[in-house]
Amino acid sequence: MKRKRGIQTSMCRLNTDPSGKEVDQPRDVLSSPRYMLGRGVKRKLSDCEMVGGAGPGAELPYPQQRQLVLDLCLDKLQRCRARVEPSLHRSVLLANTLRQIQEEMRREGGTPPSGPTPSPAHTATPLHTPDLPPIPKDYSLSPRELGIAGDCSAGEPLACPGCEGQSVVSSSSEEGCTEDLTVGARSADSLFGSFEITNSTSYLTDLAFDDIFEDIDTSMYDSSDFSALALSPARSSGAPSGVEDSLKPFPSCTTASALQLCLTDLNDLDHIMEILVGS
Amino acid sequence: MIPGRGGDPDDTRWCFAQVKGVVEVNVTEADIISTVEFNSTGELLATGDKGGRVVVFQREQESKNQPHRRGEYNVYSTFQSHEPEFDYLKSLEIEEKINKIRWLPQHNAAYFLLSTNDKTVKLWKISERDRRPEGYNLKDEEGRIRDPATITTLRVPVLRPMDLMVEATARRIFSNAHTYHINSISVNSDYETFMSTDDLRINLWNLEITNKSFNIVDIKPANMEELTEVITAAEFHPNQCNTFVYSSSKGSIRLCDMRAAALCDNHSKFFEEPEDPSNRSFFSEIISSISDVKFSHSGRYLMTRDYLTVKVWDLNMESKPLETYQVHDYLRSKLCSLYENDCIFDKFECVWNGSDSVIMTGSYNNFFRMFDRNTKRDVTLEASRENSKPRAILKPRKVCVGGKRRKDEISVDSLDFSKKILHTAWHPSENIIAVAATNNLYIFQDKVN
Repeated sequence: MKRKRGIQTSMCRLNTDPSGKEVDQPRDVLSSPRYMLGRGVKRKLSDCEMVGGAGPGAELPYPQQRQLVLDLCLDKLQRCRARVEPSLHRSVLLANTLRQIQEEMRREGGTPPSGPTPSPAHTATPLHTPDLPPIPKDYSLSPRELGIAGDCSAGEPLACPGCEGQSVVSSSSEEGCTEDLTVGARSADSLFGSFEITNSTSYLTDLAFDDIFEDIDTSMYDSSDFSALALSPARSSGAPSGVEDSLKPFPSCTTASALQLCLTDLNDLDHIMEILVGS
Repeated sequence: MIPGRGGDPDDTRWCFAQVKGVVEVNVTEADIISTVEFNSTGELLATGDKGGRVVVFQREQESKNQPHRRGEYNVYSTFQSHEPEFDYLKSLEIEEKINKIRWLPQHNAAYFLLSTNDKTVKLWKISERDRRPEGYNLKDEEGRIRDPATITTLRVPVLRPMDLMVEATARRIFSNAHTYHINSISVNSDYETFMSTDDLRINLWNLEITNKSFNIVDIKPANMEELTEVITAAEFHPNQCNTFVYSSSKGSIRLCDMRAAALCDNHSKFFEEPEDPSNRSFFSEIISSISDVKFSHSGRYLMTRDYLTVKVWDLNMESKPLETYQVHDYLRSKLCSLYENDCIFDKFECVWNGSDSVIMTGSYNNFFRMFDRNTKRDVTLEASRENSKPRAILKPRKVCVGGKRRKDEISVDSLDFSKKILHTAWHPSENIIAVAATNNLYIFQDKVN
């Protein structure tokens, strides 16, 4: 997923210093990126240290601190899904932190919503500036938005205002905070949904047979329903989706439509549906 | 820190006894110790590692010739407990890492332990064989079948001594009951049942029955996207077989009574400390997540470990802990860095000593901390090869927070965060501790005069 240029994950690396201030350390598994940890030597003061208040007057202003944490949160959620062993515990903590920050941002206001349809403020400034990009007030990690998967499998018509709004995404500056938040929101859902360790037999017995075919029901060929369905990469009914589907980072929303966005994550069944319904 | 011997801090004298494991520049990940546990008598010490192996050490009999040397722990049995598995549907590997080992009380000559990875719990029997039968009629000494036509007489096989062989066999495999990662197992005081805990559910098993388990706690919401809290640890009460506790990622502990209902979703007691608003930060929730919960041996108290503190709770007081000990409060200002490098998610364990007067937990830089609940003194010690001369007394370490650093102190910025002590164990009755430092196991004893 594209991210704004802001925080580099290597910023706070405690073990390497390209400027050569540090003594050479033996490279071993513990100083690999997996650990990225201090090796007991001095290192440069990083932005993270500033947030921690390491030096008086070196502290970042609160909004920037918050932005830093937010970016780290999203980055970790992204990486969390790519790990071999996704940890539900860690993902829940990250999602809660993310939610907390977003609510705080929302409470503080920001630009008013651009209109009745809740769409990200694309008229906003280029999102790679270090300033806090405006967050649409109506954006939220509400269960509604996250609940795409859950509702879809039940076969009810689903109004997904957030999704619809964001689905009409222009190809211009999509990167950045709001985009990340969007992705983060959806990823949280597919994140939690993909945690189950199942073996074949229990998996199949859990699956209600009808659920698989519910999607093919013609009563669901409603555009709003479909876009919602299409947006869910891993539904809770357990439609088989390989790890590639659920763990692949969302492609950047530079593409024109939600269908494009989600096609890469659709499993075969959704693909068929999409063909049947048409773009 | 000798229980019962308070007063002078010079009384604190822990000595190096043994270290197990190799010194490597590149640590083999499979060798990283992931759990340590003494059995109920302290005769055996088990470790599990990331490679799915269990190594059991046995304490040798104390020798009258060398009274100053308490029994050493030597390798008794090594076996591969879990193998990596692959979930084909999810394309996910199931790690073979041993998350927990719990010993069963001993009934006969054999030893039994439960070991678990993310998905499967196994009951292992470790038994000795020092005799073998000889003189079969139908087989010869090499085991080849004899031609019955050549047998003219019958004899009774006799048992003859042989070299001691310790074998481990898997007696029960408790599988397919957990959708999420198992983080705890706990043997009930009835010695008939045990529970296994994953992120969202707790299951009760009978040790004899592997094809059935009872779900006693289920916190999975109907919509997974509403999930905000997971179970992080659980343990049975040491004496009351109907009581258990489980801790959560939000820093709360619930005590449940299995007599009240079949499904213990409603707790009997709820322990949670109100948040201190002055300490609030982005990371408040993450650092409040409880990584370990342990009943005291007496069953009167509960100990919990979160990222920065250890707390002792009185079971009769739910509103706040009885005692709070700061493990490494100097990290509070570094939380953002620790969040960035993922250290903030490290799960430290905590242990009681035999008399419940001292508690111990690990930290970074291979430091571990002990808190004496009576004298309120604490000490920081280090598990390192440099301090590994036999019976060398461990010198207390100190972390310097700011300002001038004294000679022997270490500054916060010089701490090695890759050297973390997550797993420790305390002998049930003596002052012997086992400390796991990455791939090495250190055994320390208090100084015997």
